[in-house]
Amino acid sequence: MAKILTYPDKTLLQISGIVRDFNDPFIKETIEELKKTIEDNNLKGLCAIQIGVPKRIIVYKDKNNEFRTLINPGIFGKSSNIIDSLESDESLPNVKLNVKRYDKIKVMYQDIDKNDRFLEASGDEAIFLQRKIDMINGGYLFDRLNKKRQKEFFKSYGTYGDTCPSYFIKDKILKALRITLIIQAILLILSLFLNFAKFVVNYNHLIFGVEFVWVIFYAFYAKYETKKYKNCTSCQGANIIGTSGIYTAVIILLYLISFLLR
Amino acid sequence: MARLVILGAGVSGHTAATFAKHWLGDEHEVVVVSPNSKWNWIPSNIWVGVGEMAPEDVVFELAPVYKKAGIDFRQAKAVSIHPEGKQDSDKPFVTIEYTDPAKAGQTEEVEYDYLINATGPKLNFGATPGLGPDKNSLSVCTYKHAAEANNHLQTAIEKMKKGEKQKFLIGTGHGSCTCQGAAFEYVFNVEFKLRKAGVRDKAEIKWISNEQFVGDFGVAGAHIKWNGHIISSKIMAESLFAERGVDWITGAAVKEVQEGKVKYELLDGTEGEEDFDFAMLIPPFSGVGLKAYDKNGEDITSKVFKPNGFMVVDADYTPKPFEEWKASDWPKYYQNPDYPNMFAVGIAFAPPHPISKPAKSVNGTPITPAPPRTGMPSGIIGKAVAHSIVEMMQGKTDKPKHHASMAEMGAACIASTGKSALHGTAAALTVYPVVPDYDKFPGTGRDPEYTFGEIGLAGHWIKHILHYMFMWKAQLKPGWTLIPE
Repeated sequence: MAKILTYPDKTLLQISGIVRDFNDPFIKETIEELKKTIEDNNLKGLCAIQIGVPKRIIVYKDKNNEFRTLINPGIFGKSSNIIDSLESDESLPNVKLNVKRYDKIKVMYQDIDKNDRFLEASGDEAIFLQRKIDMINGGYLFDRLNKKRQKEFFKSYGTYGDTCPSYFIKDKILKALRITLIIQAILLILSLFLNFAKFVVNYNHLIFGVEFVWVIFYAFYAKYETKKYKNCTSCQGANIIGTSGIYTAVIILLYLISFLLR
Repeated sequence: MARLVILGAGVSGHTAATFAKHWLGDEHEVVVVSPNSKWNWIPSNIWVGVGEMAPEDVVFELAPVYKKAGIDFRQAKAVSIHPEGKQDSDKPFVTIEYTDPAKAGQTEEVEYDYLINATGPKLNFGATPGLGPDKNSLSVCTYKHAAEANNHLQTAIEKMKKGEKQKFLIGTGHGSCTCQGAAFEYVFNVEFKLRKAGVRDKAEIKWISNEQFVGDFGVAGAHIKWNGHIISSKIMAESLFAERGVDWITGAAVKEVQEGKVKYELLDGTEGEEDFDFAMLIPPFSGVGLKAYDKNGEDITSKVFKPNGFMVVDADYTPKPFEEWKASDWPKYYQNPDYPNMFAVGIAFAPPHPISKPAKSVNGTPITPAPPRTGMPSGIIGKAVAHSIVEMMQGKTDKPKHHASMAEMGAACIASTGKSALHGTAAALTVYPVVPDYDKFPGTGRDPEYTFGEIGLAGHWIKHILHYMFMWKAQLKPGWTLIPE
């Protein structure tokens, strides 16, 4: 029996590859391993990535309780009815999430002899297949949530361990700088009318210096954090440079305004 | 003095012509033959199709630009290629027929030392009965088609403002279409436009496509970063369709377009119908129908071109199943194997096979996207071929040295999903390599390290900036050579 991988194992966080060589004995071995793991754990079904094999294979028990193997499956048709489905998954233990699913789907797949096959699924079978086809394409249940609910999910269940967090410390550094700049801009406007706000003009050298150092600190820390989480977005370097540039320009602009107001 | 003749002035032909002349200077001659007087930045046609740009914003006149560059421009269509010359001359030539109003209908033989076929595609509306702007559906493939589509869209918006419901059907009009990306952009720009006009509740929008799954885009899908991990573009596209309330049908070969009705066949052989008030369906592409003749005037078209009309180049065309496809099947130098002074770039070269996994319906109807060759690969290929030819013309080499295989290059694509400076969005995707290399990257065939994808307002700004940048580059304004393809 194979071990079922669970979130946030990074092996799960990849897209499964298309099965091209049907004569590869490893494919048959994987299917047998999946069947055994399903039986031993009394499950409806599994996809290969859940036991650490990044191949597009799903094995499950159909309505007649017989094993069905889907290789390279894809959904090409569906009903227009979208239903709310409360789902859990072996790879996300102790989690139940409400996601939107189609109530009927049409699936094209290949059997072990490489023949094209089609099936129409509805109800629980359709929901199960949508979840597993998502998984072979790299998608978890939480990828089907809206941004707000994803945020709640990550707060409750944590992020991806050593792979890629949803919330970076660098973002918090940037948020604090943003708030400071907004306050500074408001004070600059108020300084035209109110005496108490004029300190922002008098201390502009100091404020400018602190903010500038802040941007440099952000750039270095963000670079360190990006290196730490190598799996995160590949244009991170460009993002850091771009973001630092934009904030530097804003700081210089505010400095020039306060210089003119002196 | 040697002469390079380029047939076509689209992205790849124009790139090849302008760089070749830039590198060759006055030592050699560059001739461009194109039936169109204007250059069109095709990616922005989507915005013409929803009235967010005027047709004149996406085109410019070619003649003054070529005059400034020292390129001999002939507004004409190529009719035939004679790579061995004719009985009394060994000099290869092309026969052209002028479309320039001043010489309309006149034919001419244009001799060449090197030839680049960059004719692009013929929009093969005839492949599906009833398809096309002259019949029952619309298109955004040219700026004129896009302007016409916008007129129909505005009429539909007026009807909806009066309380009438309208059904929009957008996607591909045949089982072997390519350019799903353009249709994808259009469906979401239409949806955005309808929301902006305050009539979204009166519209039913449906996507119909020959992709096996939404998000295939004819390149076997792209991989994007989503919630911090890599997923298939299938998940991203499905989420977008659900968020925007756009229904979809995939694995569909449109068989006929009637007035207000489309008939299609699905992968499982079932047939269906969809009614519509507005249909924008991309046609399949074929070669432009160039003929080829040998020295004795014998027709050698089937030797020079594949049956789909695209030119044979240095690809491995041996028929083989999907399991045996290799990155090395794809051409590197785009040189014709029989006539080494003849090259084909952009959409004009014959690809060895599709990029997406091929599929047929149970009735045997092929329902597989043809491989797309978008602006970035077309520009890169055009420049690489021009570089090789320039070195051959200058006597530095007798073989092409600069390669640009689609199985070795990456491509970035920015798909607009709504145009607005503050509320617009676009999906920015990169794929590396464009053609999956299953030997180098087992599994998906793509390198996850060079994968990036994001959807948001910044993507829209980039798309808009690229519009101005490429219009600037194509008009050869200062610094044009520094702007990448």
